[in-house]
Amino acid sequence: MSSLEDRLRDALRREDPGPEFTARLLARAAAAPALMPDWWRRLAAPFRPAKIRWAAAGVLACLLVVAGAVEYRQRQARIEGEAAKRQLVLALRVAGTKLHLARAKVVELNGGL
Amino acid sequence: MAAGTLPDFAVLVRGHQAMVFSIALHYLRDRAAAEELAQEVFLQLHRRLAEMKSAEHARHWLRKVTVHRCIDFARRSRIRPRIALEDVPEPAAAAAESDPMLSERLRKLVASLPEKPRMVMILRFQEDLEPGEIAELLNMPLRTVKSHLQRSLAMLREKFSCTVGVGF
Repeated sequence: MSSLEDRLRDALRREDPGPEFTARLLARAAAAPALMPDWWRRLAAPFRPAKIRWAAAGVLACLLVVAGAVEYRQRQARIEGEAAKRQLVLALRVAGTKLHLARAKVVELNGGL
Repeated sequence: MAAGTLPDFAVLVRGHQAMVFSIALHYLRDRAAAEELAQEVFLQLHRRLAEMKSAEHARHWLRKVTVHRCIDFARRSRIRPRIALEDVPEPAAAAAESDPMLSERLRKLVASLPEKPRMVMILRFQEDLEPGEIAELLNMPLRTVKSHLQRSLAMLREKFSCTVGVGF
């Protein structure tokens, strides 16, 4: 054995972990929980590659952001509408009171003649 | 098992346990951790057995998953090379043919390398992979693989020619 490369190959040669390793592994595999149902694996199959998983996660995140923005705008519009409604009711009440006072004044003046 | 037929789990285990275990052992230098990591890799294979198209596909998958799990494991458990290069003891005498002490010393020197060069050396000299195959396996440019190989070999050669008197 002459070269460093040969000595490295010798030093790093494969080593079998032994029959106990195999027996323990096969026992663990036999005791492992059942695989996912076939329909689920078929459903999830298109998303298995990492790039597709990341792309799907990105699309989902975008959809969530857009849905959140739409919901926020709708909520703001509802709050503004309710505030405007309250102001209108108040204005009508004030106007009604003023009209009532004016009518009372007119009646009072007509009665005085 | 012929390449192209659907692999049987027990056959795959017996056929590839030495490869998976040895990559982990040479990388981690910890027999218990290497055994556990190898078991986890095979259990992951068991869960995904239906996806394996052939024995060759399974072998490639096992090697790739083992390599990446080793690197992740070392990063997670903050395993640094446990032996500094300077701490590796010198052999008492010049190296003989297939000297177990020299082999152990070489394994320790390899273990003292940083993460990526260590895996490159293991894949090159344990698995006998070409630099192009290592680059594909580690998602690394080919020139980086070649550079790691050259630097690591130069370091080992220097260490040996200075101290053991063995000319490489």
